[in-house]
Amino acid sequence: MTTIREAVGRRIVARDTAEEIGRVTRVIIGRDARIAAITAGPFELGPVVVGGPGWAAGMGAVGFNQPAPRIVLDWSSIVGFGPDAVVASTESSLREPTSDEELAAISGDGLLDRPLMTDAGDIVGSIADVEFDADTGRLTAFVVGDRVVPLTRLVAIGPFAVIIARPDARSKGQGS
Amino acid sequence: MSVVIRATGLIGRPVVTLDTATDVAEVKDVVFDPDQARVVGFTLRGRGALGAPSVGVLPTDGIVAIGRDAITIADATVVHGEAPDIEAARSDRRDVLGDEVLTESGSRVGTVVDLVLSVEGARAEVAGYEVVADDGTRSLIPIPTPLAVSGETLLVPDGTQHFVADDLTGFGAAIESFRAEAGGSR
Repeated sequence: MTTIREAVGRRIVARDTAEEIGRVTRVIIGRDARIAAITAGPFELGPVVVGGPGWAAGMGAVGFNQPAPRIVLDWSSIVGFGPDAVVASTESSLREPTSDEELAAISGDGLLDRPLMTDAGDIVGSIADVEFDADTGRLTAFVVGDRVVPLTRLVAIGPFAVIIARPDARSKGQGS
Repeated sequence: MSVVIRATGLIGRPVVTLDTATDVAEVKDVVFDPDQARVVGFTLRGRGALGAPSVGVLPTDGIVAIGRDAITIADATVVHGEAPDIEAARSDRRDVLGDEVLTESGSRVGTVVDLVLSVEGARAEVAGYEVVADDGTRSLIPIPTPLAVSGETLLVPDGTQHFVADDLTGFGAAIESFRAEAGGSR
């Protein structure tokens, strides 16, 4: 079991070359409550992304006509997600972002700090961290303040909030 | 457990679907039926300052819950382009904001500036009115169903002033006192 915050900054190593190809910068969650992909970067310091030549242009700076950088690593291309490194099939597994969700996650709009709201319409806090199974990529719990909310209460993940069932209601969502 | 809120506090509240966790609209107007003393629905507008001025109506039977931070609905299909009963409830007779409040014996109490709602789950019942007196003081009157409502005036029982509250915290007790008095006098 690991968490998204623990995973950020972890080395990504290519299995065929044993070369480091980047570090985990973002974890992209699919609506099925599983990790869909991670993004790889040279280095990240807080909200600032420090990269090599072409990095800023590749991220869509106005006036540049550069292809998007190949920074997305699909979960299916991950051989192992260990405590010390993420092992990717090959460096060529990295690809450009293709979906709005990926672009949103890369720009910082991920699950972390998103509101956690009950299906009764009450926000109970912000998501401080997310626990997941490193073998399957399946999310297992949300950390909100000093509370751990199991995924069995999940109703939906979306742009407004992560919605969970009220404590006295049965969840019909994923993960149950 | 019910929560007491001002109706104007619902304006701007996001409407969020439970299937996709998306804020599809926000509350534009609160529509209530004074005869039933309850909210019958909401008119909706697009989200944010640049949102569309009108995106449909939401009857209360399409609501899962009216929460502190959002109104939840199962999915976007419960938002209608039009709803005759909601539109009817928006007639002048039911727009009480700005109406004068008179007692049965003809004393002016003040002007209606807000409705006070008791909210539980998806149901919002009118628990009373917030009134501004001529001297500027505000009070909350626990009268869910006035004696009569025209397009300009609410008529309330004599002695209503005895049950007013200064804030929502004391309003629950004011409601209980009024109902106990009303029940004992019947």
